[in-house]
Amino acid sequence: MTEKEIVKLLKRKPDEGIKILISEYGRGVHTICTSMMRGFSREETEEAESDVYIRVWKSAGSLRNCESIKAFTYTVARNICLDILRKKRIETVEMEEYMHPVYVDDCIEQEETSRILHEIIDELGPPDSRVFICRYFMMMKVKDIAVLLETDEKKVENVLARGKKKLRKKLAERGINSYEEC
Amino acid sequence: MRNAEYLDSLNEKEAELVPETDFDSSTVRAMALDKLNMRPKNRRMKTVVLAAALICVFSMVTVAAAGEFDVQFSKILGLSSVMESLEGGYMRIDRTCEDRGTKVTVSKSIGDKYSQWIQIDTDIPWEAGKDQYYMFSDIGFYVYRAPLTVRIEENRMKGPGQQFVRPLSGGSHLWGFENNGFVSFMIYAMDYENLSSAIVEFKAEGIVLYDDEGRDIKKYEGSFEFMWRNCYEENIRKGETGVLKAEDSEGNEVKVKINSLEISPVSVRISGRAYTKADIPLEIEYFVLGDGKRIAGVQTTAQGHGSFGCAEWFYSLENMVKSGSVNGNEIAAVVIRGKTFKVK
Repeated sequence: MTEKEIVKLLKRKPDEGIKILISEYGRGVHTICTSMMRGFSREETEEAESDVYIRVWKSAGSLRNCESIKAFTYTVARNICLDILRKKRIETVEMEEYMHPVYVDDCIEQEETSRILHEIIDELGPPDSRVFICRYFMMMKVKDIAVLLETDEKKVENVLARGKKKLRKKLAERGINSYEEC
Repeated sequence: MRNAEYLDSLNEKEAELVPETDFDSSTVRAMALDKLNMRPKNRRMKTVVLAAALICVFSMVTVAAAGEFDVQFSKILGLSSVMESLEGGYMRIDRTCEDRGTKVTVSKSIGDKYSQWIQIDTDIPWEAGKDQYYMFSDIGFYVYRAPLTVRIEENRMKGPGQQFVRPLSGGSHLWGFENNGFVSFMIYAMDYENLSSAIVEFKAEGIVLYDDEGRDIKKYEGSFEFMWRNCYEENIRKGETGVLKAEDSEGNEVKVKINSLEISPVSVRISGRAYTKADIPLEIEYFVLGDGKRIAGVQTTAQGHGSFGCAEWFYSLENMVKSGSVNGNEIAAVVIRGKTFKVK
């Protein structure tokens, strides 16, 4: 089934559409939710996962111009997990810990940084780009990434170090250099 | 949260890089569909849910008052002696699904808090000869716990840990029988969770007539899916709790703390804690009836282990009820390993 057909189904027959969404993207959504919601109960994670599909269904009307429903669904999954983490007030500890290796000062525009990260992910190509997705989209810890991707922590650290070097360089080229090393 | 916004969206190419993990999606699917069905705004939903609950209660009262409590159903189950006690547990389901010329209807059920008999009718003429049987080629039976009461009390659409899904537990079974010249089936489902307010999903693929050597004689293709919400009385009485010493299946002595003992006309369910990984075959030695008469007890029909030492025991009284030796309502006490637990 094409993405357009899925969107159509979501609008016309929501229950069927949701079933298809789960069968097509459920495994990815499950990875995102379980990775980001470590420490939460299985029920809470399942609750979040089910919220993802309801939110995608609610957005079905505005999905016509969406580049990719898969990417949209994963982004919704990430945002729902972030909302939950915010509500639980654990982000002050956890998120800073996750993101500390590349700490960007307040003055840096988020959009620009995010754009550069997309570029780096594209340049790295798989499998290294997958490490970056896990780290900077799903906010996973190095050791968890190693477990998920069935590799060792050293390799993950190396990939991240290479990426960060590129990020530093690109930020510097754009006149942005106020960030700290881990 | 500034740093967490680092990569706040993915493009099509990047989405392909998200690792995928295999998992059992049935719970998530049921939760999502349940939320979808509850989609009116909170205030309206409260009314809708209340109305739905009232309709359920009303239909149960109507059934009881009308006294049309299916004599035929009672005969099929062989539970005539307890049918009166189980009356509040009777429910019409009446959901029909038709595929490739075959019509399947989940028609009615009767049960208590932890067990349920569900009758499924078809429009297939009964053609089974001697030693021939009808069965579904494949079935899926799932129970989702989502009590309406929790939703109303908390005035919100969801609450943590309310929903469970599990396949049919050990001790459950399904059989085909002739019903006015047509093929019908009966499911006996038992679960450790409350079935009386659960959402039930039943899926079946094809119906087959086979002989006692397992050879297919006739096959009816089709895919049939049903989902409904149970709404009937729990029909249970509670017993005393306490601690007793037992032996696990590896021969170790373990202390079992019984936290709840619930008896219905057709089953006994015990839940408690016991710190062992092995099974504990906790046999009920005997029942004491109201007049002091003792009736030999039963073996565990199924036992489940949860986390942190949680354990559950389920005893079906189905055979005892059929033979007329006991009615759960007459039980005044349960004796397990020499310890008496009185029923309130």
